[in-house]
Amino acid sequence: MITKGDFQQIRPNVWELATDCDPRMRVPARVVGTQKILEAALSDRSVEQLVNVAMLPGIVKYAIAMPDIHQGYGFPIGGVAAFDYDGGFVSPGGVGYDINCGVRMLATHLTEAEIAPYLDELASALFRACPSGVGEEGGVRLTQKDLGRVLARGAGWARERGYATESDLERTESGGCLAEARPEAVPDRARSRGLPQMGSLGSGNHFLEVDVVDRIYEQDTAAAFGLLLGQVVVQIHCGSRGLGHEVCTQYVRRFQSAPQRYPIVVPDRELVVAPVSSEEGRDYMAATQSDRRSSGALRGRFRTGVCTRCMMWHTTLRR
Amino acid sequence: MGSWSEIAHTADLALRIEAHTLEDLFRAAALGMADLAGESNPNAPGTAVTIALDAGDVEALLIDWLNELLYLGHETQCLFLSFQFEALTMTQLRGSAVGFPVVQQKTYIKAATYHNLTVRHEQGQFVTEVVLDV
Repeated sequence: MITKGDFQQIRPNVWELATDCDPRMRVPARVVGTQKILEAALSDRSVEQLVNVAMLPGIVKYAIAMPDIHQGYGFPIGGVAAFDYDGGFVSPGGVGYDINCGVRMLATHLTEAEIAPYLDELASALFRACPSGVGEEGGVRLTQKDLGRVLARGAGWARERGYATESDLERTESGGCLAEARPEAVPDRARSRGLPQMGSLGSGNHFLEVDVVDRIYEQDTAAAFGLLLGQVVVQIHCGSRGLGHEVCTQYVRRFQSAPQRYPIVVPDRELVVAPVSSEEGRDYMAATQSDRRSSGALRGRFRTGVCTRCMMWHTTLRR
Repeated sequence: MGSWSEIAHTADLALRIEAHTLEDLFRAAALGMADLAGESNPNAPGTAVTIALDAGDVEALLIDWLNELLYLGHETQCLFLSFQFEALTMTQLRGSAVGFPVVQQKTYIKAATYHNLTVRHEQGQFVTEVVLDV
């Protein structure tokens, strides 16, 4: 059993577990956080899961846990690892069921004082523009052919449909259309499960929230992002929805036979790996890149919903 | 009859399932997952589906079974509550399930995972624990 005494403090808020803790570890494990965060991580299976990640073939330098570390399945939540692309391995379960899950923040031209009297109406307007909830279907009606275009063009599709602008694409990784994507590598079941959900936020920890900038720690950074004290901003957290869940399910299943073809031992079947250069590895990378295109397009669609509502409010409130 | 209970998990959901037979284990796992997902109307007309699965071992078969029910549940907007097995071995399942319309969804379950998964045979019972990603 791993205890706090097994960790060495490398520098303030960085704790390292050396490879001699378990001979199967290929790299040390690091937790970034206060002593309290480390103690909390040791109270469930988070650190055990981080050690499992440190055992994966091809991992580079460290298995790292961010301050939000808590128990997941396979990787701990908050876990980060890099793997050699050339000659390395990929783990669909390690990437997880919510491919390209991420947060986008939109700065508005509104202030807290301006929206304060209208919060209920604003919430209703945003909910209509960006449906959320368990299994909620999206406001965007797509055919399978349309979904194929989303997978092929990513955020470029959102721009063509008026859900994003050129400047959105400039602010998105690889212009919102990642290289090496191959839509045909996305299983039919993933397309079927994802189709009705395109354009909805989902549930769980996905959210759209209206915030106020109440403190600025670094003036230059805030200025670069166009942020001011008292400004209303909107944060959108979503991912690949049912499309990504099913991509992961199908590829974790397909990878289960990989240990019979490659001499690889993993500590947890959910973390099953295959070489990036293998047929299943290449297919998974192509599918997940396509999936990331769709989730990028999805955030573009919400951005439009939010921007449209905020612009209407801006115009109304400033009259 | 098998039994299931929810066990503690920091962020996701986890089930402990116990049964004297493999059929009861698979049935109890499916019922436990459906109960965590939501409520359905068993008096409404049911939707029957046939399921045929082949896997490398019993753990993979169990996860395939649960993920198949999740997928079919999303397709039909049903929760599956009734099951018939024509054949069930450690690596093969042939059977059918009947689903009923969801009236209240509690949790969106993304997938059943292989995390720390083993199906053990202890004191005449099959025992396993399954983590569900939500």
